[in-house]
Amino acid sequence: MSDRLIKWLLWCYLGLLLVFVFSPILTSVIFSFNSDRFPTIPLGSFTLKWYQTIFDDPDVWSAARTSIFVSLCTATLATFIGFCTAYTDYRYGFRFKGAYLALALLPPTIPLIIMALAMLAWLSKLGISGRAWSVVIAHTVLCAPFAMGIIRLRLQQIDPDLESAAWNLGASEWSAMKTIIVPFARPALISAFCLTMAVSFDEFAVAWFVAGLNKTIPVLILEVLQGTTDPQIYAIGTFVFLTSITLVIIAQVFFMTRGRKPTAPA
Amino acid sequence: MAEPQIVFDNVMKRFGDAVAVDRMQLEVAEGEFLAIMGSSGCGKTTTLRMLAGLETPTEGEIRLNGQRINELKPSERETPMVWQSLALFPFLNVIENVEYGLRMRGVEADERKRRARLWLERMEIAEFETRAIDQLSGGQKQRVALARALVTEPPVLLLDEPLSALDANLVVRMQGVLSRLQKELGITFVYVTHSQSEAFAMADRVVIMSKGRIEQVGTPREVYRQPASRFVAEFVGSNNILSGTVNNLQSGELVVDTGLGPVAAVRPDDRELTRGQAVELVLSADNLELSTTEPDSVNRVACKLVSEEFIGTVVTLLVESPGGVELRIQKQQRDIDQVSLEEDMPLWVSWSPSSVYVLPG
Amino acid sequence: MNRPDVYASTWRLPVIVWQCLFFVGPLLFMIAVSFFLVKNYRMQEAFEMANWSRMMTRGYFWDAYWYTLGLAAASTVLATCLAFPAAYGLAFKVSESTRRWIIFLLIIPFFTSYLVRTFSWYVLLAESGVVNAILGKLGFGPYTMLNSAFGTLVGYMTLTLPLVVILQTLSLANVNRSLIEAAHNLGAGRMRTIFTVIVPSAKVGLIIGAVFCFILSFGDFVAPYYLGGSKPPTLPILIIDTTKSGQQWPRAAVVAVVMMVTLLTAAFTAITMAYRKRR
Repeated sequence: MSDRLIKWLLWCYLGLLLVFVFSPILTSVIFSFNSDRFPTIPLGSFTLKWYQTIFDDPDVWSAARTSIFVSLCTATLATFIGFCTAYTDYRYGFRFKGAYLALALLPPTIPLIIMALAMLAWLSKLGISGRAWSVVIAHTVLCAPFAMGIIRLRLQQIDPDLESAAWNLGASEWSAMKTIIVPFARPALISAFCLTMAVSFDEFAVAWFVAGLNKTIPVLILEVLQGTTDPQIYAIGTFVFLTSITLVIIAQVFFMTRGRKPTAPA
Repeated sequence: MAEPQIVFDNVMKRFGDAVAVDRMQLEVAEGEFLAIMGSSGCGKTTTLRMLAGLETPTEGEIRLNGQRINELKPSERETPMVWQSLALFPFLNVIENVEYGLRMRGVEADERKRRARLWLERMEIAEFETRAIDQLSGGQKQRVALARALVTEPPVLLLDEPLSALDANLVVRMQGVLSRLQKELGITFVYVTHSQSEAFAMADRVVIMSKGRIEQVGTPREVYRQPASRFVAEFVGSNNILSGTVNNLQSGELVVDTGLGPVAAVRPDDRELTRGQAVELVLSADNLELSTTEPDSVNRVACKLVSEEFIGTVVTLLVESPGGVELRIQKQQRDIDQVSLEEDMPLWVSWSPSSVYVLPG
Repeated sequence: MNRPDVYASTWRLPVIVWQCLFFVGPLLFMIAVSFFLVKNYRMQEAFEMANWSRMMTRGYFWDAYWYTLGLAAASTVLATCLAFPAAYGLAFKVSESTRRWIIFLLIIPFFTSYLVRTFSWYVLLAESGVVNAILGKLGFGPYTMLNSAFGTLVGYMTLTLPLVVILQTLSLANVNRSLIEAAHNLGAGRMRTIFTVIVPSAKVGLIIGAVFCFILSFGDFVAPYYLGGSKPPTLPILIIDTTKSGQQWPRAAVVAVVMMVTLLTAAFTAITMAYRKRR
């Protein structure tokens, strides 16, 4: 087989794979504007009634408020914890560092359904389940490793002499942190914040178990799915998609920044 | 009598099992330009970092103006450093970089701007005040790094291979800037480098280090003409080192049998030599004379030319004696021009007994 | 240093405290819960083997166990094989910037609701859905695709395929090009080069991709529930059913612990294989 034919076949294969990955996403967007109750082809007429339905639904609004609250708090906590861990890994060597990093990074390898059950049992035991805060706590555990990863990659790029140079010029460790490390890591902090927010915004298994009556948007979708199956799911899904993708793009943009832009003189 | 400004008293630094600095004994006087030289891994940078407080000595004591400073944090010392990587803060502009030290000392914004500007002017980079660091050339960055270190008017400036990233022309210019600056300010410079030309061009005294130990401390001339060991003699470059045995000892003179034949030298007055003793002789490449006719000198040998190399106006010739000993000879270009050279032509190499240095040990 | 370093501790402690409280704590407590008792719909702290002996002797539990394991294994093999040609193309046949763009495209699905995507498949694969409509036009079908292992696997692929492609691409892209050229030089054909040079060099990355695929499939309840019709139920569905109806948390905890042990064993075996030196 010639190289060109192989290349062409691989491109076709890649195309098919992307079709497989994106067809459910496109389906949800297209059918959210389709008038038929059961979505199939040929398409019915264009409509906004599903958006109207969710817009008028107080449950959707309250879930959206909970989701925003949960994801903002989660992103803040996870970014903070992720930064602390990344900085410790960057700056210090110590005994049991392997165990320390394992403790910090393992949560994503535990299936969500198991985390959900364990969290439910534990938070009930502590008497703090069934609140929006319970979801924040659980989501922070799940999201902090991602924040750590992103921030650690950024700290990798710092000239190791910069922090020493700050001390050398009279900065205490705290001032060096504030004036050198944090400004340098800022793009990664923003990136980590957006990404963890997006992860929290989409997570449903753990939230479903520990949220109680404080449903987040994905939990609402899950419960709607168990009953009716009409395209209002798609309308909500499209909104969630737009929110997440915005966050991801912001995260991506900041992740790519080299952070060398001149700052305006104070 | 007051103690010298900086004293390393039996200082030892270990990293795990590896010894980076071994029982160092060193004194630096106020206002001195001291260069620490050695190949990479010899402990010169560790020495500098201990002075800045970035490493803590494992044993021994470092004193600044008679005060033990081992336990002082880097931020509590007045020992700013110019880094090999320059370590300019990339997200701050030029003046923000320069005023950083003042900001950390709580100096008012107006005052620190004023003082930072003075230094920018002094370093002739005032027009770049609000430039971003990555928009500067290598030489300009160098000047920002100097201004940033000096703005707090410290008693000591540490420099860690600051010129290693610059191209050759700029290095010579910055050497001039540094020398002048050090004389004007009258403060102590401790300058770490692997480059002999930088050290010899600027330093009052040179420290040669190897494997964590000091091999020799002295003026550039002393280190060059009277190396304390074979290591130093080889390290400082263009030397020919001949092994031989002492043959003839007279009051002011001695003759050593070498691969070149008998070599007459001036007898060193600081140590005893005996007949039959093995010694090493140093013949500086620039002390050897060349001629096409047989010269009238005690030490002379007929050689043939092997190769020549030109660096600037200096020519380095490699010649070979009938016994197969290779000698390096360094001459100015215009001196060479007077002896028209051709491949395989007979050449006479000669030198005076007073230019032969007998290595101690 | 003898005195406590406040600065270092400030950065070191948060994750230790937080993870012990809310990561290690819950998991250990879950193990403890598996020995608790439920009386009158209330959980009592105890140390009894009742839940374990009950679950271990139930046929439906073992049916669910082997079914879930089989599905997850099938999903792992399927995803690894389906991803490889794509990863190979991305790693060797496209430019660096194209690769970055496609990887970015593959990251997007992680941030779209998996639930909504699953529901899309439900609609697409239904008896009267889009796929059957298209097949009908071509003179095939209709096929029953939902409520079967096929449906579940489609769901698993939706969840895992992008991740597996990304992990494989990254590990293949790191294979030393000169090794491949050397193999070609020695006259190895394309397929031979792939299986004797590229796959062994990228082994660790390929196995890590497979491990993640296995973990995700094994623990997912959405695909087997909505696309597989939960007949028979998988272990995650068992956990949900026992937890949500009847408050039987201890029995759910037993299932969860069994899942954890299985996953740890699988992951450990795979990682050992990945790092084992070839003789």
